[in-house]
Amino acid sequence: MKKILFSILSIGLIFCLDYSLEDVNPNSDTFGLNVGPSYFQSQGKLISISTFNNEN
Amino acid sequence: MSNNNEWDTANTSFIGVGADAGGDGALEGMLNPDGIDVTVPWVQDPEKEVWDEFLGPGAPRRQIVLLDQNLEKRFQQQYGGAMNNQEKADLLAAIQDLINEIVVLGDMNEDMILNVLDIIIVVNMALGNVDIDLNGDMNNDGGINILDVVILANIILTDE
Repeated sequence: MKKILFSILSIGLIFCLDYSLEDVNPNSDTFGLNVGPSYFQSQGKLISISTFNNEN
Repeated sequence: MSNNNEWDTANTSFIGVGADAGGDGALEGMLNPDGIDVTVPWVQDPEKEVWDEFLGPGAPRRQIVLLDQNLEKRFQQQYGGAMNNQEKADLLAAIQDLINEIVVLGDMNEDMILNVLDIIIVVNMALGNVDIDLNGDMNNDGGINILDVVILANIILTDE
């Protein structure tokens, strides 16, 4: 499968948000890996949705 | 936390960010509501450093943040226990808008694929036959020349 080269504009780095935290969901494909928006960008998923909620 | 095939998962990642609140039982409940396994990644941020960075200090829970291809925040929405139809529509529209904005370096004809068609366009730019589009500036030197053609060709050849 072809990979697509992505360019992150240098000026965007000033305001960019990111994180890299361990995936604790054993049902997830990335269980045990440190993931975040940039992790999935490296796999072609350029847009990220982060949902913030307390576990309860 | 389910896509239900409502947005483009090829271009979009979905990550749950919890605060490590409530212990293992609470996490299990979050990841297996009603006996159905949630398969999206779930990370924990007990110090709420990521929460504060993304949402602002002391922000309420149950919020969604969208980042674009430059990792810039483009959408933020607080929601109740379950999203209502308008909230869902707003989110889906925001996601699609960001997907539509995606720019792939070297994709000169904007078909989301890098192939010989893009090389032809970059070659014509290098020869001065068409106007310059810096999306073909593969080495980011501010211009279009044979170096960009070579880089683009190598990318295409190594990805086949």
